[in-house]
Amino acid sequence: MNLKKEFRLKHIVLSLLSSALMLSILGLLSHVKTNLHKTVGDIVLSLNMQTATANAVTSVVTFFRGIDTVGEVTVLFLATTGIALMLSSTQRTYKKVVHQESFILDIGSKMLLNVIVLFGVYVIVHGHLSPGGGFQGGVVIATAFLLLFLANPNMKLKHSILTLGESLSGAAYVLIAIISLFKINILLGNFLPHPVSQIGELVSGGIIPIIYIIVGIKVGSEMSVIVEYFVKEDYLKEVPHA
Amino acid sequence: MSLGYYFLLPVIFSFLTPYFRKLGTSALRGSSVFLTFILFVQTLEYTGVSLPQISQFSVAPPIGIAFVLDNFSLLFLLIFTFSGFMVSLYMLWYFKANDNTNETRFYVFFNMLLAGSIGMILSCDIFNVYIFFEITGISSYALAAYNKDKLGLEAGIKYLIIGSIASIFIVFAIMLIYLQIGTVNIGLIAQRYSEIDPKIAVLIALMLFIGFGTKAELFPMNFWAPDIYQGSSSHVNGLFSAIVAKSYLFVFFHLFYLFGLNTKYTLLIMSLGAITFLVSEFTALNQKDIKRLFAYSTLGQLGILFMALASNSSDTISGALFHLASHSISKLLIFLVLGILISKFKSTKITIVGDFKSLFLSIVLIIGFLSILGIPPFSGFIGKILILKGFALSHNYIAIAFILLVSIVEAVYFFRLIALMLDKKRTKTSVPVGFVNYIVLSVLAILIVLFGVYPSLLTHYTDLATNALLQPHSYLQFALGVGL
Repeated sequence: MNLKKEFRLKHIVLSLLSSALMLSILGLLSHVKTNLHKTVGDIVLSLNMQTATANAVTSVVTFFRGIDTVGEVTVLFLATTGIALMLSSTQRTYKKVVHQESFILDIGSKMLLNVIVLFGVYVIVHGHLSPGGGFQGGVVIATAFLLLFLANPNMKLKHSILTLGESLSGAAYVLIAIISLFKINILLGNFLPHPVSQIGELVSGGIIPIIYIIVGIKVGSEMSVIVEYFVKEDYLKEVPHA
Repeated sequence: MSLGYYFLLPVIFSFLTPYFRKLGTSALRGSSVFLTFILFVQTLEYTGVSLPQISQFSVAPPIGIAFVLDNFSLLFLLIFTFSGFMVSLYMLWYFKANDNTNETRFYVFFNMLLAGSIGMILSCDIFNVYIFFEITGISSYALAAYNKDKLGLEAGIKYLIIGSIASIFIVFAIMLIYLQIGTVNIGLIAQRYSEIDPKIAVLIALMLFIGFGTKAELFPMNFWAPDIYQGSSSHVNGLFSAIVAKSYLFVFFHLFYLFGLNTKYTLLIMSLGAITFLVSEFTALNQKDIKRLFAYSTLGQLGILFMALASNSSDTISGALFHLASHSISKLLIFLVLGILISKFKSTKITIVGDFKSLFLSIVLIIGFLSILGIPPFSGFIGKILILKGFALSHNYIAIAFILLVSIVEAVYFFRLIALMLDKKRTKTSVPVGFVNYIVLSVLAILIVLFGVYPSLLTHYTDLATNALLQPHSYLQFALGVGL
């Protein structure tokens, strides 16, 4: 009944107008050039050898556009803080879930936890050699905690440790940028030795792997916090009155 | 000090807030005052240095990213860091007098709001501008919803949806620019913008217009703003009005002039600004809620700024920048006073909030009102008269008549408010002000009077800023990494 009331002429006109706009934009898009050469992407690819990093994407993310990554890490931090602001409250109480201990589930999830975390660490540490890196590896680590939550809803994460990882890794990233300013007079420059002959080795690329490890710690701890808040929402006792 | 600190210092302070909180609430509050004070003092130092200045990250532009400070961005930087410093002082009182359960998180968002806005005006890489756009956006969504009551949550979710739609348009524009020119450096884009296929150029301009116009509260896209202002705390409104809206306005007009869009779209933006002014001032007449009233008043003043900044003539733009600075200070003053009143009365109805008894608050509030209205000897008068003078010099008499006529509407509701405040028949309640607020509000009020009496203090900077905006040659050179 409400549907009928809200269906008015202005909605028809608006939807017609917006579809006309979309169609005209689609028409314009046929004029877009797609075969561009000598873009800044091509230049960066040709310069990639200087960073001694086997993975060009990593050198773009952590070096050529390093300050963008500081920004991205900050965006993630703000998102986590925003979720914590919205979902944490003294008024909220959670149901105690009757957890049926299953031996296989318990042991199985704990065994898998180590494997998943190890894989996440591998992805992070090899970020400058193979596809992957801090962001991806951090999310992999967070899935390990998601597994624990699925196996045991009453589990609690140690927030002091997560806050430590979150804060100190973020601060370390900024400190690296500032140390670089004092060492080579450029913010976020590659001030550690990075000889091209070492390309492809685990220790190569100067600060690039260090930055990705820091990003990995930060993303891992933040995604875990987000996972915990969202899992807990399922066991909310009653919605507090605003 | 390298320009990069303007972003990196707030970031590191934000990351470490949980530990400041562990040292005690005064360490937390003090850290924010300290941070904004350093940034403000540093900006004052830049007023004596030859500009533009550049500081690069990792690789030199146009391949890498750099922060460039020219006279145009310096004016905004002064406004932002000063407003940030004032609000952080005010918050020393606010969290003592009000609920402070989520104080730590508030400071995270406050620091990053400042850092994002400053980054937006300094960065010379359009994708980097987008990142700062997101940082400012997410902080302001969270700050809008901070009170977690019904209105606050409505404001937060509404802002989140509108802001996300706006940022989709901007990403789309950046993608198109990269496909056409193969770079995201603002200097290179400005050089080659005329080479783009004219049809695509129109599309890019449209996308940027929708994206930044929505956030800068321009007419067809500003329907959301009053709800956001109504739902969030009063000093957050001050931040939105003095810093956030102004930073989007900066990017809007910076790109407008750098990409040479001023030759085609001046009339469009001017008329949209005029409609914004007209509609907002008439809507403000009927408001019962004090925050909504000043939200509409802010929209109206932004309308004047859009009209004057798009006008292409240096006198008008210089006046507009003066008006912009004056509006930031006056609106900040008004919103901070409102915050004190609302925290006492726990209501936002005009008839309830107006019944306060405090000589100091009445005086500073009336100074703020008269400044916004444009009555001498306050700074708003100089701003408006300079804009009108600029329009007169470029023989745009319609604009003059329009601004003067609509200002009468503005006068109606401001004088109605003043009459309510001074009405002796109503029962008045005395309101405690708080020591730090005496300082903050007096500084703001003194500045309003000072700029009104000695406008040359500010016109010096606005003239330099206008030159930097209209003749961006040296900015573009620096954006390409020449100054390194």
